[in-house]
Amino acid sequence: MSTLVTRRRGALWRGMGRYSTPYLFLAPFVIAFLVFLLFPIIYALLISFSHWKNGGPQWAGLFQYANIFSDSIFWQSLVNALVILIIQVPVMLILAVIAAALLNSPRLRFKSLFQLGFFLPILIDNVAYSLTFSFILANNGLLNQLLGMIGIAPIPWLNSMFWSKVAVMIAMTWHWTGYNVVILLGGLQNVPPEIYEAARVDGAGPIRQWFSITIPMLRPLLVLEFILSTIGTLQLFTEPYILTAGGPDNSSLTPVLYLYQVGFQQFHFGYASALAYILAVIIAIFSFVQLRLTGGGAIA
Amino acid sequence: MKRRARISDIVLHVVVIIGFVVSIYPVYWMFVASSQSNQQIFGLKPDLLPGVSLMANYHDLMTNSGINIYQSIANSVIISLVSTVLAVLFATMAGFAFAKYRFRLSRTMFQVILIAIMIPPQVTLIPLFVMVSKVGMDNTYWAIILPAMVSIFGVFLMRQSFLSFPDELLDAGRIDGLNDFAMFWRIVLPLSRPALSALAIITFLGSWTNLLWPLVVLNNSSSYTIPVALSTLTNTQTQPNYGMILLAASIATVPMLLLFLALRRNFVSGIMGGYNR
Repeated sequence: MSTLVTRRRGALWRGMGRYSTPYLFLAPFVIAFLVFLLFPIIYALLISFSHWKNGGPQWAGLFQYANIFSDSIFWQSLVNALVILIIQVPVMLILAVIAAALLNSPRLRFKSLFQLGFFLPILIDNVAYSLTFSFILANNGLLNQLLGMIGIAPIPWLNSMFWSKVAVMIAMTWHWTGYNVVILLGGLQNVPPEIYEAARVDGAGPIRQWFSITIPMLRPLLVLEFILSTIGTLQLFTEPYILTAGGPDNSSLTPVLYLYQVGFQQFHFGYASALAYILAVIIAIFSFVQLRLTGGGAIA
Repeated sequence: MKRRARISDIVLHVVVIIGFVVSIYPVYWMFVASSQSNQQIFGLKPDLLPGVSLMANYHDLMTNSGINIYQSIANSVIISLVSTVLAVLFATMAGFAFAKYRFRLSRTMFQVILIAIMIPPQVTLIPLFVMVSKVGMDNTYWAIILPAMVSIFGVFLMRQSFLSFPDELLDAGRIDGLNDFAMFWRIVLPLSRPALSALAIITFLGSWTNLLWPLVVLNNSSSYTIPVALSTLTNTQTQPNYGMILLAASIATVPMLLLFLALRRNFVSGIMGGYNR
């Protein structure tokens, strides 16, 4: 009798165990997710509808959101990010495709050494490289010294409303091209060499092969990189913070840098949270439109 | 025909060498200029050779910079290691559950996570700051590690990689009397090394270079991570010693270079593999 009960209880326990197994696997992630991501996301929404007073939120309805529409500094920061996005991302991806194809060429010697060199910028911390570039791009810095040797007058990279964005783009392109090259090299190595052989037999030259095989095969990865780079640029912070502090005259201010200034230098928590949510909506729209335009690529 | 091939080979190598030089030159300059004085760094002509101010810059870094670079490296190593281990472990377990079990709420949970990944991390800056300050956790490792434990990208990556994990192996383990957790530890994890190392490297790089959140939550120089410590260097001094700042940046770069040399193959294939699946 007693053995029967224990056996049953054992079976029940085992059954329970089996039933609860997936939840136990999920528990650590889900708890962390709820506490450190989902709760803050909802809390931020509440804060964005309030004034932050005496260490707590006080309901203010749509006050903060209404202010954003007349905040020219925010819209300027958004335009700055879009200008950087429209110019820097395509330039970087084109450079990355070319570099990846060249580095993958069977006729290239010292291949692993060259690949290492293209990879090196990724290993330099964002702040370390931004500091380095802030000195390279200074008025009497390395780049202007080099330009001076070929007779070009110094360019005010960091001190002009026009060049400040260019400075940020130069630094970003230097740092992030290698990352995209590595990803594309991985994609190129997945292209079976027989395809190129078949194309050669059919009389396709190198340029034809490039446009008819390489680019189409890399398309899903390029779409992925395009979307990730777009999101990254709309969230740009470190480079303008270190290089130009958003200046001169907000010409290189980005939305996240502005959010940081509003939230943690002026401590307007309500307004900063509303800015964050508007930025979230803008990023969502961009990702959605890009996914639609590109037909999904690697993600769908 | 042969001559044409040779010319295109030369063009190929010239273009690659130009890209190579552009890639490594700023890094070379960072190290070299860390031994130079301000006059050398901002002279009329580029100075490509090491200067004689290395010791002076080092002395300046140790005494006048307002940061302790070695303490910051230690902080960064501890924070990045612990966050990476926890984030990878939690994401792997969750990814395994989503890929290999059928259970109630599975779809709903996955969809909630999917929606959350579309919210940019900056949204949580202020609520997290409020939470961390309320419990008095600012200036601690945990303030940075706890939010970093949540890697949605990791859950997706690991789920994807487990979808192709053979069920027969799991059944064989069960028949041998292993419970699911022992099986996960002894069979699943060892066989998932490529995906695990890809996720670990991407997570570690992200944690190592993270500036914004640590900048918000660390305001005591002894708890600075490397990015925060470096970011304070230009604004704590009225007349910056640029060689000293570059020396700090160079020292801060060394651990990552060493890690890369130790794990070179995993590093490259990790970044390739993380996206190529």
